[in-house]
Amino acid sequence: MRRAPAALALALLLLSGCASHPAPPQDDAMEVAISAGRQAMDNHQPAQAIPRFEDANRRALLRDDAPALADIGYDLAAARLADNHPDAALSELARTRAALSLRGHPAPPALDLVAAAALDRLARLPEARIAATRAATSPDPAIAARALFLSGLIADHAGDRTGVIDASTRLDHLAPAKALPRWRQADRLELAARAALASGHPDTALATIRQAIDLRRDDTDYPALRRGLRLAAAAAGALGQTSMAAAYEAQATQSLDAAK
Amino acid sequence: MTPERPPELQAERARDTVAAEAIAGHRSGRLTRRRYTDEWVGLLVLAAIGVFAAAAIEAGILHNWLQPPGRLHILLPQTGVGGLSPGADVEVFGIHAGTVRHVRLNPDGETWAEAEIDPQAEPFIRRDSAATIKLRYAVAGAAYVSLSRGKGEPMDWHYAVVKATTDPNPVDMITATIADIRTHVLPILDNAQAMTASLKAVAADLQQGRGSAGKLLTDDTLIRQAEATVTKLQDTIAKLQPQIGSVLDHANRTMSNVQSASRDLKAATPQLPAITRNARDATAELPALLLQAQATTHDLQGLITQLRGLWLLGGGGTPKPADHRISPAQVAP
Repeated sequence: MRRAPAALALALLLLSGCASHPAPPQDDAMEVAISAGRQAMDNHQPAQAIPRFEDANRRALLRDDAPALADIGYDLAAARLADNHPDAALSELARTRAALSLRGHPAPPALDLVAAAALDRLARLPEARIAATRAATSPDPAIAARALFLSGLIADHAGDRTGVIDASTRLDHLAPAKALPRWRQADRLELAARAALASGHPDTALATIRQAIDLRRDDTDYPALRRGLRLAAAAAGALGQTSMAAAYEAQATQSLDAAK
Repeated sequence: MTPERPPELQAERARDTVAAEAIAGHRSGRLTRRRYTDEWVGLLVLAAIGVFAAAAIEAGILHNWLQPPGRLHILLPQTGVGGLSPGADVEVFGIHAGTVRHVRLNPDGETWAEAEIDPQAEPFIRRDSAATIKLRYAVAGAAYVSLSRGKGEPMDWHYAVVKATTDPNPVDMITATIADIRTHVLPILDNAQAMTASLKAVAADLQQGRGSAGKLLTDDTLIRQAEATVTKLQDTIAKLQPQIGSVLDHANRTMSNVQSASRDLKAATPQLPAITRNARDATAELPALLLQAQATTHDLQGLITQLRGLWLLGGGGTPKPADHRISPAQVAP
């Protein structure tokens, strides 16, 4: 029993000795707002995330913090896009670019990623393709990978088979598959399935997209899951399995109804 | 050779000469004065004329002579000129201000009169002046033009125009009023006549016992039935009397409950301000509490980040800077 206090004191000494370096100075209110916004986005509540990111944006303007403005502008635009307001997302991006230009700070390619997604939703495909190409130059591999995935998706929407296959090939060569998070694996599989369908291999496309659907489910990305189900329906239709195609379509519709 | 004269004659002659010279001198002075009399009279006349001219200028007579009267064109109403004729007076707020010189008809069918206006009255006649043709004694007499005093923009006297209206003749108004009354009263009299006839017929029917009212007057069956009904009603009320008592008891009990509730409420009312104050204080504390909660959460996050960085817990040692960007996976097409 006498040894217990001594052991505790030793442990505390070790812990204090092993204390990490202090974190860089930051605005607590801004950090809290960003954290709350991110948590709302993780819980698929973009409408709740928007006011938090707006608070954070005000704090960033208050402290004249250009890098924070770039990051929060990206977050806010992504939240507005997730809230199904692509026009508002584009306006937010324009505001962010103007604020960065005022401060002589370059606009990060991440802004182009959100712009590409918003323009794709607005069916402004040529502009979306340009934005996705710019976003693919990002030094952040996650941004670049998502930009390539968007490029392939935009090419598919435009009926450009070569573009889909090219984007899929480039995405495959970006990084080894094993080390990737689920969403990136799912992106690769979905784009590969689209490329297979575009190349006239619906059976391969169906098998690949099924894997992607499972990953989307695990990742709780249900809009992407519905997109995968519709692709599976298209692949089954191309195989002549009309009942299977109808079943996939019905599953996608039920998922959409449940989301409302 | 001149004969020598005696000295007496020479002396007399010398006296005569002196006297003659004196008379001649006196005559010549009188003649000089007579010669300038006409000039003096002329000068006096000229001075008088000058004084008259100065007085006339001072009195403004010349000014009035030199300034011609203003010409005012009065557009007369299409319904008639109201007896206006050349020579009629023009008045501005009751003061004579000019005379109508001509009444003419232009090719467009409009009648207009031209009046000469006294220059003194011109400042009072403006663009908003209203011209009315009136009769001197309301219903009779000579027609004249009455101009109201204007307060708007000054009139352009190069071509001054006002539009005239005719003052309604009181006789015409009285005639029209009588005609109107007649139009309204005659139907009323007709209706009264018809109503009287109807009343007469109703009274005759009543007397003869026709209709329900007639039967009431002539037949007493209905009265007897009414009496029987009243008797039954009295019986019914007598039967209901005990039940009414019970209902009243219930109502009394309910009222006493309500009174009790009111008393409780009254007793609780003094505590309301305190409750409100407490609620207000608690609400005022909420923002600070939220802020504290946010700060605590943030501190907790920082602590977790630091703990993750400890090598004892498998961390790398140095905490990563906070990532502000959400995952690109959430940028959904």
